[in-house]
Amino acid sequence: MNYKGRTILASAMIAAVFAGLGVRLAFLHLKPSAGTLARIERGRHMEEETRGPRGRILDRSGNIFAVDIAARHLCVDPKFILENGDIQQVCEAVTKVVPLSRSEVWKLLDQPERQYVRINRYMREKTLEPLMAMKLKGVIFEETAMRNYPKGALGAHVIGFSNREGVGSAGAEQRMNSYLQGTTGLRISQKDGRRHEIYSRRTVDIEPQPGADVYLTIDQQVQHYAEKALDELVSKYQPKGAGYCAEYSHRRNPGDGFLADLQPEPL
Amino acid sequence: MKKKQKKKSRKAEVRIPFPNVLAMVLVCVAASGLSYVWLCAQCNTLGDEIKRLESVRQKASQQAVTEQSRWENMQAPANFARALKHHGLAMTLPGERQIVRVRRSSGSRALTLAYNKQGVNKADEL
Repeated sequence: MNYKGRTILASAMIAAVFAGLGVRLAFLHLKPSAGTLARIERGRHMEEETRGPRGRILDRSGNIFAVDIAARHLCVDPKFILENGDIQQVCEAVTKVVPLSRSEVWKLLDQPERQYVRINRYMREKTLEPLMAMKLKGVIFEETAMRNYPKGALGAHVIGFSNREGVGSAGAEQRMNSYLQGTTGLRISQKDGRRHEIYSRRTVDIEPQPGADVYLTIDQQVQHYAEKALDELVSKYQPKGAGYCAEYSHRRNPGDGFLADLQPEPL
Repeated sequence: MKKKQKKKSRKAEVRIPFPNVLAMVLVCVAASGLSYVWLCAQCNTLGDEIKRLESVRQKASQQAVTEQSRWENMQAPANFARALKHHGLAMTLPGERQIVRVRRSSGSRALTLAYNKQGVNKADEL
């Protein structure tokens, strides 16, 4: 075949390829088959369920005893890191922020067949800030919430605690669980090729509602001094068990005193 | 003969209104198409902006809660006492003689000094 013939053949082949692509595009846009359409819809579909934060527990003066704060799970995609990232760099950076040794982190990262490994759960955002700033490939920061008790052990027997699933398991957390629990929100939308949500395709958007705040009748100062006094008595007399009743009387409405706290102190 | 034919053909060309109408229709279609594309682009830009602001709002509210929690932690009586001790501040509660109580009287909206140590109502209007 001569030069002219080859050129014509190549041009014809390129033209045929483009024509095929054009026809395919036209079919996809104008009259896609039901199966193709369903596959595209499945790939684009996005459904997110988010739980509203648990309500706060406060004392009678509005001091916060329990609150939900933002936290993150530190996860990695070992397969992606091994193929596209720098495993050494990731290992060094992760070791700095997690309470694990370098060899332990390496062991978790060195799993080329896995695409999801959770390194550490419920980490504070402040701890992860330096790692997040590095924008390492294959390192994932999953958003979550964790229960925080800013007053520490103060009134711990009254407040109780909630478990990792956000369900009250003791004290006021358990008793008031139905009020404290937030409602679940729902967002149905579509995502683009980069897995980002397309805002204009958002069809359902129900905001999650935070749980109700619970105001207790205890006072943090009274509680503190009562606990302190009880500690002193316990260390002095070494009883088998001890309890106290801290009552707060409202000055503005005389006689409107109420029982603030009654609890056994475990020894 | 040729001149007559030319004249006839020119006249015939002028009389046909089709190209002008078609041009107008095409311009309208193009303008509508471009407007549609422009509006879609605007909607997408606004959508992206809304999403960005949603994330900013969420982050700001999360940060506010975290800071509030930190502040509450600092205000906890045990931590407060520890901080006072750390900075060498020997603070005690004031005696009853040192306290001046200010109350809103029931009748007027003015504030009054309610009572001194002995509980005698001075009722000095401020």
